[in-house]
Amino acid sequence: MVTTQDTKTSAFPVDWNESIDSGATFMFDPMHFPYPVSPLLQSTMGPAFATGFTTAVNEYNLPIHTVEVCHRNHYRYDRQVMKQPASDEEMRQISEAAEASMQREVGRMMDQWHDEHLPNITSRLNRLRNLDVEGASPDELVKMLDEVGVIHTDFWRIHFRVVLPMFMSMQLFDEFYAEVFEGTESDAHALVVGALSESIKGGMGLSDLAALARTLGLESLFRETTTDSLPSKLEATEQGRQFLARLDAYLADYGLRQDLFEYTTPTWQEDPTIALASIRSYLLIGRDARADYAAKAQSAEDASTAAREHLAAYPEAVRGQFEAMLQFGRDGAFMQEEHHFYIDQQGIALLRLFYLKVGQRLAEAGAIERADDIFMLHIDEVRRLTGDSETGSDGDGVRATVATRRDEMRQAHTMAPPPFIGDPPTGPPPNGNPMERAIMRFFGGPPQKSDVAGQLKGNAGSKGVATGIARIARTLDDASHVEPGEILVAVTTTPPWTPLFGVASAVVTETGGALSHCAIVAREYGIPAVVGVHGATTAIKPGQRITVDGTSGIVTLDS
Amino acid sequence: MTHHSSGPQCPLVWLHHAPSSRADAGGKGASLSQLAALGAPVPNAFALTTQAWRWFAISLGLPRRAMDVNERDLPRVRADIMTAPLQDFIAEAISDGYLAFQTLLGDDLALAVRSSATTEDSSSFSFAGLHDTILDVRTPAALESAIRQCWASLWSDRAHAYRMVNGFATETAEIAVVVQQLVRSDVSFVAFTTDPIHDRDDHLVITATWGLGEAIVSGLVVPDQVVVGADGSILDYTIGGKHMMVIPGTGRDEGIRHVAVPRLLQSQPALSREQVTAITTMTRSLSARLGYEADLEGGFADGSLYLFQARPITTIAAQPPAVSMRLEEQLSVSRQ
Repeated sequence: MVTTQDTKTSAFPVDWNESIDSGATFMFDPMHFPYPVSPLLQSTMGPAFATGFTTAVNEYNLPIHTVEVCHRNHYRYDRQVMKQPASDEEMRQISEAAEASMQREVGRMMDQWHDEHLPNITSRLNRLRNLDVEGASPDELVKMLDEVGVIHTDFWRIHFRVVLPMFMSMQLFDEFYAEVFEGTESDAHALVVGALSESIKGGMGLSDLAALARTLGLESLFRETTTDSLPSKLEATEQGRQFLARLDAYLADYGLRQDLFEYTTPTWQEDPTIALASIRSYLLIGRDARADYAAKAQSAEDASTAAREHLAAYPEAVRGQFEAMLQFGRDGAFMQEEHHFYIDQQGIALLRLFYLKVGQRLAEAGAIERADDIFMLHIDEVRRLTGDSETGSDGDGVRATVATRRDEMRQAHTMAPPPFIGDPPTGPPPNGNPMERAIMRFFGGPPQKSDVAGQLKGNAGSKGVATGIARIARTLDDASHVEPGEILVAVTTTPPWTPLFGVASAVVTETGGALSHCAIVAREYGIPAVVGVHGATTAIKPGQRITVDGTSGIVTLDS
Repeated sequence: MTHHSSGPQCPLVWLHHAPSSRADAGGKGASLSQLAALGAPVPNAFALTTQAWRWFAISLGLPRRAMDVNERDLPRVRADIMTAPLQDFIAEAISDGYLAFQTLLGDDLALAVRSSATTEDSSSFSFAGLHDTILDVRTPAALESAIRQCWASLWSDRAHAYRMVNGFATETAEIAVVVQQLVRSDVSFVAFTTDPIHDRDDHLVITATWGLGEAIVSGLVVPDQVVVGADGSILDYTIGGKHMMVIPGTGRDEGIRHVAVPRLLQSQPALSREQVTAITTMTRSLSARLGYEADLEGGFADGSLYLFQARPITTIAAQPPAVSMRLEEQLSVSRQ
């Protein structure tokens, strides 16, 4: 399974057997956590994710007993501990209970979302917004930290209550389509694009801002100015200020997003550079996201009509099943975007802003130097410093810890984390039921090797072929420099990257499968995508001309 | 309509107009006309009578009895049937029948063309499956070809051998052809007025599957199997494999297709409780008046129940009660 990374694994010291039960296998998840994660994220999201996920799977009677998260060299690993039935009979009961539960949840997924999950998320997001960090006493602040910990756990519990039926519903549609039609996976996905999710609306907002910039006569300013100096240049004119006011209004709704699952990167509200870069690109290429969306929705309707005509001679039961499955597929694709917008983006962004305020208090008390030093601390350390009114006394020790951890993080960036730690995984991933197949198609399965020189093989993510210059991006900041027509090549793309899909001509990622976020968004934006291409960001050189065939899952490099 | 003077009377009879005899309309045609007379929901159908066949066969000098023909001459006999010109009055009758369906069905015209030999579906010998059925026939040319194919199947190797072995060697082999509106069944069934498994004549056994009934009759699938008690309650519903189904062509493409049943539907019961009740009520009502134990082939389309044919059950007489035998094996015995 490990190829080129094997040689670098020696540089990844793991004192494994001392702390972990023998037989345990923890998997690396480069799709969500490709880079070292900050100590505060480790110590908050680690337990929140594990507890929230575990609670959700137990509420759904799934055969997973617990989910565990651990970190080594600041890289995040996790594992799922399966239930151990004592008998075949118990095994049967477990799997029947899981199946019944998932069937029920898929059937009521949208109702649950609107009636239960979304209100629960929204109330928690509002609570995070409204916590009075500045005015809290040390005791109140400690209580607040605990409350936020509970909210964070709730986020992950709701997250998995949403995504498990979501994957199931997308998988059920894809499998049904494969059984009834002769087409490819891409043909199936053509029917389910066009959901008007919040992230599509977010893209439309950027496109509207680009149109506004043109109307206000700001096009040449956008053309001639680097994104870094755009805010100050805009501030200098009346039209510029008008534009900035509209941008602020947009960011109030859509600016709670940042790069990766991490606290350390600023939100778009704090740093609008990436939003401005997207607006600039949209302006340059004249992208009209609303027209694109309408065309996409229409093409999905046309594809669905053709499918219905094909099924006209089929028994009513099949036609009825098709309509139900098509709705599942569309709901699933919609929920993929929607849950990201509310939980993965706004949730983490507001957690960052909360901890940053706590960091500000600690900095004012002299415990740390800068507010964002808080991200280098563990939550226990933060709690202790917060509750201690005489924090200044411990200042030197804490500052040293922060400095050490920053060094460790930098060091960790040079390491190549192995795909797993602990005992090697036993056999291929399970593939026995729709849920397992869906998870497989989310993460993308084991790496594939191409036998053809100059070709890389991955999973077909979004159909079509495009040729262009490769833009290798490790961070969203790198990615925001993508020029119209260039091909975005990244380890993973998280939801905040999605507006760039309206600029790039294609996308290649190292992680993910046909149901991954990247693949789904590429389909929504109608650009070719090959996902799960092992080692793409190193095999493809910056500026190299490449051809992405999103239908076959092959990337060809120009020599 | 002037052909009456140039040939025998009535080469075409509409089965719901008047009782038709086995000698004229064949076993299938006769039972359909009986079902129609009893008020059963049978689709419109006509029979191209045995007289049409007789005139065609005589004019070509075809053999009349199984003993008259050597097995190796059968391919030539069949080729003659497929290619020789039809007498005008037969061609006109077929054309009249087609036009009548066109008036009735318009663009939806799709037909089931079924062999109806005089010996088949008798109470002792089923002859089932020996002669051809052609489904989803839509054009005049396809109809003529399907009728010829039914005729030719009278002289299939298997049909010839069956007659030689079962004591029909000296009988004149005659065949009519039933042309019926094709009902695009969402779910099809064969209902048995008696329970061959438990040897209970107060039970009813229903087999059912998705799509056209051809999937059950041809043994393509293991259908669902329902046992209904004397009081109409479902005593047992066993879900069959149902991995394939037979469906009509799509759009302008005529002719049936075999397609896979989506996995989720394979394990779903093909019949609802209400459908089982509807079949049971109709089957019980008909079986008393038919005067013999029968299997009834039918289907549901757009929520309505249709019957396509009734056949006497021959296995009751032929087989001792064999509880250990699976129903599908029994069916294949009765149908091969």
